[in-house]
Amino acid sequence: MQMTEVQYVRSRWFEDIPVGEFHVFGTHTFSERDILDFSSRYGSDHSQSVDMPRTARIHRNIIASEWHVVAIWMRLMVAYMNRLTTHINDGRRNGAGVCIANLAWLEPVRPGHTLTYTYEITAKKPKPIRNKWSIIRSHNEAINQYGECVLTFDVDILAERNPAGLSPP
Amino acid sequence: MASNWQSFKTGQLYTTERHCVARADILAFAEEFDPQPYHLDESAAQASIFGGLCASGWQICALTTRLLIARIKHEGIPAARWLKLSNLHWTQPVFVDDTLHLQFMIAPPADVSPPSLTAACDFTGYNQDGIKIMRGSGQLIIDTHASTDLGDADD
Repeated sequence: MQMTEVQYVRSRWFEDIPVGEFHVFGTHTFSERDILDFSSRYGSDHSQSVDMPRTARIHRNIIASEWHVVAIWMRLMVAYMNRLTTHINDGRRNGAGVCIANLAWLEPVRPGHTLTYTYEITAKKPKPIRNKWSIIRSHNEAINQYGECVLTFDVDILAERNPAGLSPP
Repeated sequence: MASNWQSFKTGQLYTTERHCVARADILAFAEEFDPQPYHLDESAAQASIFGGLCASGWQICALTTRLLIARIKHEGIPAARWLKLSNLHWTQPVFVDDTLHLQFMIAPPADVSPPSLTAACDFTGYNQDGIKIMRGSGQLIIDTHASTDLGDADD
């Protein structure tokens, strides 16, 4: 086959992604400005009022909004996948998310905290979806500079199947 | 100020305000946090599984949480936030100019430790056509302490 005949390009197909594979895919330091900016645009105006349990409640504290910590996960993940799929820039490259489970914000993220994000492939569901994708589940964590896990969740995404292994359309 | 939690109706279905998702909002969030083609580029999005430019699922999470918390605050609760989500499903894409709202129900609290409590919350999100765009369930931490004093810590 000549290269010009390749219709699908992806770093790896569903079939090639092994359960148990572990990635440390990015780090991010949360600044006070970022936290307040995200909170004002997308948050629920709680950054100064509700802290997490087991932590002293101090008025006027500042902690990152729940979805800010997750949005940074997404940003780092996209950047990581971009590095793995240089020059591939279409919708086939990254699988869309289907659902998440066991999402927990375990510790507050404060200005100056640096999180390290990891994922591990934990399961594959081979059943084809629209004869093109199958589901890959990963377990994701964010660890702060004290070694505390601050965020954990599982996500199911669609990974594209190798067309050679699928029934013809 | 007395807490208004006592008058909150657990087990009752509440409906949030509605919010229209503009193209500029989708692009702004995607550029910063989720720069994938189906959130940024109309033609790439049309060729994708979604069939059109659609919002990042995380933007929908943040937006619907905001609607949820605003509705809870409307009942006189000072503040609330998610502690955990046991599950969340994106059931349909959210396209440009879709108008969303949530319906939710909060169960009687599982744990009350003033000034906050935790309670289970189930929610379903809909678009303007009544199509379910997301559903999930989790645990909220709800602040029942209505003090507005600044500078003091309490437990």
